[in-house]
Parts: sequence; structure tokens; C-alpha cells
Amino acid sequence: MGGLLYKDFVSIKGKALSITFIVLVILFLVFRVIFSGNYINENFMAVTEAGEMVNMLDVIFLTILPSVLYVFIMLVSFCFNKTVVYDEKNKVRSYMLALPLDKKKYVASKYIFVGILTYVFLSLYYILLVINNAFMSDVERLVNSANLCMAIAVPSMCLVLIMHMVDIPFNLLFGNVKARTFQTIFWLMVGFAVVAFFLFGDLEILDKWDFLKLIEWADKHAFELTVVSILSPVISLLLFYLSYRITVFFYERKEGMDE
Amino acid sequence: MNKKLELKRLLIYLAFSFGLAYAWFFITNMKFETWQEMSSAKESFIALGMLAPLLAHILTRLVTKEGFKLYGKDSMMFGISLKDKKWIFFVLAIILPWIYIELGNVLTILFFRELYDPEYYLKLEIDKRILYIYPLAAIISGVFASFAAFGEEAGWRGYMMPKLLKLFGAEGEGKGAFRGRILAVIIGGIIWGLWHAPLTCTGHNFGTDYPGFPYVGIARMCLFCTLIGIMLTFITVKSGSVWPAAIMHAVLNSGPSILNGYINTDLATTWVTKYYSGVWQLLVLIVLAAICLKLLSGKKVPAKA
Repeated sequence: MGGLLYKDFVSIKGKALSITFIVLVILFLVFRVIFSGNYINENFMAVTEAGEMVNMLDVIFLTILPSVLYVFIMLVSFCFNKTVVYDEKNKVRSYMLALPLDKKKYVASKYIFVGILTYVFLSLYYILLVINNAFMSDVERLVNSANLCMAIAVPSMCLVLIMHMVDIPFNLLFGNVKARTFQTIFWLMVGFAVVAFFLFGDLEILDKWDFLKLIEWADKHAFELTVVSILSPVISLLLFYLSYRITVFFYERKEGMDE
Repeated sequence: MNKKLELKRLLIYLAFSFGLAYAWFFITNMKFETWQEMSSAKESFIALGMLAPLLAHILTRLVTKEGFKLYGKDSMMFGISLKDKKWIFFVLAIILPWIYIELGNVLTILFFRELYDPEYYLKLEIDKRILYIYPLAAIISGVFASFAAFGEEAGWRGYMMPKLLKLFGAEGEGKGAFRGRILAVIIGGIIWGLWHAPLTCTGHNFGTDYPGFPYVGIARMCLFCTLIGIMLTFITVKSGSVWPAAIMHAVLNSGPSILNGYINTDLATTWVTKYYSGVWQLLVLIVLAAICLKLLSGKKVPAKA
């Protein structure tokens, strides 16, 4: 199993990727120290509806962070995709059929690899958040936004697991080309839905969108949100495991036929 | 085994670990603020120093050319094996901190009745329903955000303890090996406790308002680290991986407890209840650590840990 995981690590150029991310985190830290929210420059200050002075540098960093989270989600998907392409290109599965290796292990290695990537990127996101928050000015609205950034981390990473619950079996059972085609169709449909919303939807919803109301709502429903924060990782991990078992069942049959 | 070489490697690791962490603690708190004066954002930032032992472990292996094997003998112990019922140690890692904290709280309420405040959680601004599910939330967040605890455990349990166990001849069987294990966990605990000293001096863990500050706090931290260290070493040795220890450490740091919402130390009327309300938790910890030490001595300790 360790060997299979190492193969995947090499196929995504893991060493170079790790060094790149360490450098990026250090750069982020340097940038945050230079552009600290505690540095008051009148040109960068804005006033909120509540009359609080907000440093725009903090706002810029806080806007970037959730985007970084979604870049990480995409990166997990990208890395997994790269491992499958590598395996298909180098005929790893045919090679493995010749080895006295349990087919389960190959499937498990893919699930574990995605799990490890999810954990690593979640940890990286937390580190970036901690760095950001340390140099952010102590304004209630910003602190609330930072807390929200923190709160969306685990559910977002659960989304990664749920996405791969479908993506891994598709890739292993139907091949990378078909899986990519399916994924492209799915995202195109999502894209069309968004375009359709902007063309025919009620755009007033966007005008009415109030971030403060969202925070108030979160405050009022703290218990429900805590229950969700407990259940979402547990449920997504259970579903992830279930997906693994189903994939193993079909993968063994498929590989059996190929033999 | 070349004891001199192992000792040299251990000293290199300790130099890196203490150097990096102390530098971080100093740079991030140049104003020498106490833990109580700091914002929670700054606390979390300083806590990133927990990654220092992991960095020290990697740097030491680079310097000593020990290699970066992930699993097995003389490895970094980053791999996970669930064979031979080793999954039990993951379950233990999640449950033990909760049991220890809650049992300690039960004893505190029983023996220090004055500290019991049925409405204390209201002062903490926690919904009662949240209080009841808090341990689960703490466990989940502990497991998912365990990278900082992993940073510490990768160094202490992944490098220092195997070296200490080797140095004190704790790998064999018999009385000598048992004595070696005891010495290794005590010295390991003291080193780990001293590593926390800059934080203890800022009031982390025990505050600043106690007699003998900060020396008594540092001594208490060494004792606490020795006892917790025994449990962490036990699950690391038995599972052959630092991950259960990392999870246990993370869960412990997030403090899973319901009864914490009912214990108000502000109600203390004597110096014992004021400064030593945690004594019952310590007692539970001593019992658990003794059990772990006994179980650790049950079989020959494998060389890999």
C-alpha cells in the first residue's frame, strides 16, 4: 500500500509540489506582515454600515482566502486526475494484474490518497487562516468574516470527499477519458444553469443579499450549525467508505473479466 | 547500538526543536503579552510553534542522514497500519482524553462542591444544547484540525521517545528494561514540559495568578507532560504510528467536556480549590498513565518505537 501511495505521490510531482506550497505559505506570511491590517493608512480605510473603520487590506486578504479554499478543492481533483492519467499512460493496472497484489489495494490506495490530499490542503488552509487572522485588525465584522472562513473549511472539504465518491469509481471503472467527459458535461450544465439564472432569474435576490444577515442567522442557529459540523464529516466519511466498498466490488468484477 | 551516536542525534534534534520553537515564541510575542491579554487570533498564531518539532525532526534526519522512511524500524512513524486490531488505538486516542477530563471533573464536583455552579455555562455564553454535544464537536474538530498536534507528536513521539527508549535500554524485557522505560518517559516528559516553558511563562495552561509563578507552573507542566507523554508513548509504540498520538493530542487540546460548563473556579473560597482545582484531573491522569505504563511493559517493546 505504501508503495502505491508513493507512486501516486511521485506521479503528481509531490516533492516539487510540497516545496512550492511551503514557499507560498512563507510568501503569504511575508505579505501579511508587510500589509498588516494594523498598519493604518487613510487611503486604505473604509467605513462599514455600522460605522466601523475597516482596513481594505484586511478585506482583500479575507476575500482571497475562501477562493484559496476552492482552489485547494480543485487541486485535490486535479492531483487525483493526474494519478489516474499516469496509471493509464504507464499501464500500471496491467502491470499490477501480473503481480500477486490484492485488487482491493489499488482501489484503496486511490481513496486513501484523496483522503490524505484533502487533509493536507485543509491543514494548509487553516495555516493560512491563522496567519491572516493574526495580522488582521480587531474589527467585529472582519472577525466574524474570518470565523465564517474557518467554519466553511470542514464542510467544503467534505464536499471534496463527496465529489470524489463519484469521481473515483467513474475513473477506475470507465477510464479517465469517459470520466472527464462526464465531469465536463456536469460542469457545463452547472455553468448553463448559472447563465440561465442571470438571463431569466430574479436578480433582485442578489441585491437583497446581506452578509450581516447571514452572520446573524448563523448566531441564531448556532446549535443547528454545530450539529451540521459534527454530522457532515461523519456522514461524508461514511459515504466515502461506502463508495470504496461498492467500487471494490465492481472493480474486482471488471478486472476479473479483463484477466 | 551505538549509544554515543544516538545521543548525538537526540541532542541535534533537541537543539533544533528548542531553538526553532523558542525563536518563534519570542518573535511572535515580542511585547511579552500574557496569554490572557492576547487575542485568540494571536494565540493561534503563536500555537503554530507546535510545528517546530516536526521541522526539527526533518532537519535532524537531513543532518544525520538517517533517511525518511515512513513506516517500520527506525522510521518517522508517519505510516498507518490497522492490522492486528491496531484501529483500537485510534478509538482510544479519541475516547481517552474525554474520559480523563470528564472523570476528573466528576471528582472535582464531588470533592470540591463549592466549585459546582449549575448556571456557569450561561456565563460562557454557550447554549445548553451545544454544551451537551460539545465533546463530539471537539473530537471532530480535533481530528480534522490535528495538523498542529501532528507537528508536535511527529517530533516528540516520532523521534525523541524512540531515541530515549533506545538510550535507556527499554527495548528488552525484565526489570532493567522496565526501569529504562520509566526513566525514558520521565526524562521525555521533563524535556517536553520545558519546551512549553515560554508559553507557561505567558500564562498558558495555568494563568499567571498562582503562588510561585512561573516556576511552579513549569514544574506542573513537566509533571503533566510526563503523565500525558506516557499515554501518548503507549499508543505510539503499540500502533507503530504517530497518528493516534496526534489525534489524541488534538482532541485533548480541544478539551472535550460537558462538565467544564458546570465548574466555576471563581467560586473558590480556599487556596486549595483556587489554585489546585485541577488536582482531581491529575489524579485520574496518574491512574491512566500507570495503566499505560504497565501495558507498555507487557511485551517486549519493538525496536521501531
